[in-house]
Amino acid sequence: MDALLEVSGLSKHYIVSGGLLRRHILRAVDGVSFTVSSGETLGVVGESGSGKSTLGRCLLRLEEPSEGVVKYRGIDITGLPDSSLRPLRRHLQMVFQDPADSLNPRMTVGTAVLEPILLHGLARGVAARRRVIELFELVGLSEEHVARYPHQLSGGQQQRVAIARALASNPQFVVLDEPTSALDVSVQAQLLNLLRALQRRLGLSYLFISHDLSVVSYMARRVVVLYLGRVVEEGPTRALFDDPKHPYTRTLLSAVPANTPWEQRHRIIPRGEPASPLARPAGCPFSPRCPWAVQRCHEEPQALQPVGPDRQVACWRSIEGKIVWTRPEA
Amino acid sequence: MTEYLLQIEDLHTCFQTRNGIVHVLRGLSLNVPRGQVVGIVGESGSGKTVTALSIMRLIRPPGRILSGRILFQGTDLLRLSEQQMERVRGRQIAMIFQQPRESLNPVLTVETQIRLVLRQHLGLDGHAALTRARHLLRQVELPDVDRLLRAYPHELSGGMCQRVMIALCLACSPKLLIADEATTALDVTVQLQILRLLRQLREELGLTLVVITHNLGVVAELCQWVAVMYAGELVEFAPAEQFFRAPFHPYAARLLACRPAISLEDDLPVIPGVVPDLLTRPSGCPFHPRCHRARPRCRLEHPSLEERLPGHEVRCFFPEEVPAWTPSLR
Repeated sequence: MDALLEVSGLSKHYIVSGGLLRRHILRAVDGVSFTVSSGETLGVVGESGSGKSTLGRCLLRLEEPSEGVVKYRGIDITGLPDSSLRPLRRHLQMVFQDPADSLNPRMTVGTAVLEPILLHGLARGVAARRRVIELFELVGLSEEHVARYPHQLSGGQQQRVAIARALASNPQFVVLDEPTSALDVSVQAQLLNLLRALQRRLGLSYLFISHDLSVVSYMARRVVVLYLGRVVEEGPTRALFDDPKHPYTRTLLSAVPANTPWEQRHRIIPRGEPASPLARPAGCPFSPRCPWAVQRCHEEPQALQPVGPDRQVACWRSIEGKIVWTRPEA
Repeated sequence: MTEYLLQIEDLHTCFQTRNGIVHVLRGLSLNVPRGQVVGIVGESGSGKTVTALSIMRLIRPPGRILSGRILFQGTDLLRLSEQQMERVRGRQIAMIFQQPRESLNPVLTVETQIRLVLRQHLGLDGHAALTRARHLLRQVELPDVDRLLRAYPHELSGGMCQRVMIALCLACSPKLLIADEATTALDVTVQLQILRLLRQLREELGLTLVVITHNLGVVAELCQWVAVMYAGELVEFAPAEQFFRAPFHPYAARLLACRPAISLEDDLPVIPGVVPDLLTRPSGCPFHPRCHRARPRCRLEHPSLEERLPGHEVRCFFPEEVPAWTPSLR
C-alpha cells in the first residue's frame, strides 16, 4: 500500500502567558510521526489534553504546525503558500464532532453541500444540483431532505449532511474528529456502518480521532495512542488491544467500563490526577502517574522503538521486558 | 419483601411548547430499593433527565407534573409544600450533573461553597464546619485537602470538580443520590475512579443511587437494577445480570448489540430510524416503526408493563426469546 499521508516530527506549540513576564510553552502536539496508507483507517486515541484534535487540524492546516512535515502524495503541504494549497484542499476534508456547529443554521443543508461543489468548480447548474442529490443518497438521506434547514433534521441526519459536504469535493483523505460522540448509541452504530461502507465504496483514507476505544477498535485497523501530545504506542488494533505494550495504553484499556456485570477486569489505577500539557515532565510524559515508573523514566525522554511486527512503543522498560504486567489491583 | 426508598407511580410530566403540549413522561412507574443502585438507560428524548428533575420537583414552567405520586420513604413528594420540599432537596435527596464545573460557583473557593451548604442545611459554622469540610473531601478521596479548600473551580480538573460536587452532596448525608450522566463528560480513566467512588459510598454509607446514563457500560459497572426508557415510558425493568444475559424488549436487545467492539468484522447491528420526536409519537407501541419484531398489533395497541420473570418486567407483545444475545461473542 502506498503512503497517502506521511507525517513526520509534527509539533504544535502555543505560547501561554502565565502572568507578568511569564511565558509558558504549551506543547499540544510534540514530535508526532505516522503514515496513513491509501484506503486505510488510522485510529487516534487519547484523553482530553492529549492533542488529538489539534493533530487533526494541523494535518489539514486549519492550524499551522510549529514544526514538522506533512506530505500528501509526496508533496510537502506544510510549506505551501495558500494559493498552491487551495487545489489540494479538496482532497483533504474533515468532519467534526458536533454537526450543529459545523452547519450554517440559516442555510438549507442542500446549499451547504452545493457550496463546495461550486467552490471547487466541480460542476455547475443542473449538474451540480444532481450531484447534491447523489451525495444525499450516498449518505442515506433522500431528495426530500435537500431543502431543509439543519434544525429540521435529527443529530444523526445532520452528521450525514456534514459527511456529504465533506465528500462533495471527492476527497481522498478525511479526518473524522469524534464524528459520533454527540450522537445516541443507536444512531452511532448507523453512522459507523455508513462511514465504513463509504470507505469501501470510494476508497477513502480516514484519520479517525476518538476518546472512545470501542469505537476506534471498530473503525481502525491501526491505532496510535497519544498522551500529552506524544505518541506513546502504535500498532495494529487487534494486537495493541490484546496486548498493550505501554503502561498508559494498558491503563486506558483497563478503564473501559465492563460489557457485562459479571465481567472481571484487571484494573490499573493511575496515580494522581491527569497531568497538564503545560507542566509536562522531562522524561516520559506518563511517568508521574505510571505504576511501573522508575527514576530513569522521570529523567529520560522516550522515543518510539519497534516491538514486534509493525508495532512501536515509547517505553524503555517495556522494550527491555522489565515490566511484569500482572500487578495486583492498586 | 424488598423495601423501597423511592416509588414512582404513574407519573405524567408535560411541557407546553409553541407546537402544543409535549408529554415527556407518560405514566412512569419505577421502584428504587433501599441501598441499591438503579440505572436508568435511554437515548435522548426518552425522559431520563425529566424523571430526575420530577423527583427533585425541579420542573419549572412551561413544564408541569400533571399527575402521579412520588413516594419517598412513604411520603408523597408531590403533596409537599415548596418549603417542605426545600428540606428534602439536598438533605434527603441530592443530585449531581454532567457538567460538574457548571454546577459549582466559579467565584467562590471550594471551602466557601462547602461552608455555605453546611451553614444553610446543618447550621454548622466556624471550626466545626472546617473540620466537616475536610472530612467530606477526604471521603471523596481528594488529595491535598488543605490546598484544595483554597482552590477555585477553574483550578481543578473535571474529575476533581465532580468529586467536590459529590462531597457537597454528601454534606447533609442524603439517603438518595441521583447522578445524571455524572461521568459522561469525563475521560475513561477518571470515569473509572468516580464509578469506584460511588460504589464505595453505597457500601460504606448505605446510599441509594439512581444513575441516569446512556452508557450501558456504566450500568454494568455500578447497577443492580436496570430501567430502560423509551419515548417517556419504562419499557423494561430487570435485575442487571438478568438484563445483560437476556433482555426481553427488542429495543433493549438492540441497544446491547449495537455497541461497537473490536472483534466485529461484520457491520454492527443497528436500530433503524431515529428516536421519535415527542410531538409526533407513533401509535401503539412507540418503538414499533423501528422494531425488527413488530407486527400489526404493535401499531394498534399500546402494550402494558408485564412481569415475565420474577422482578423482570417488559412492555412488549412479542418480546425476545431467551437468550437474545450471547455475551461470549465479545
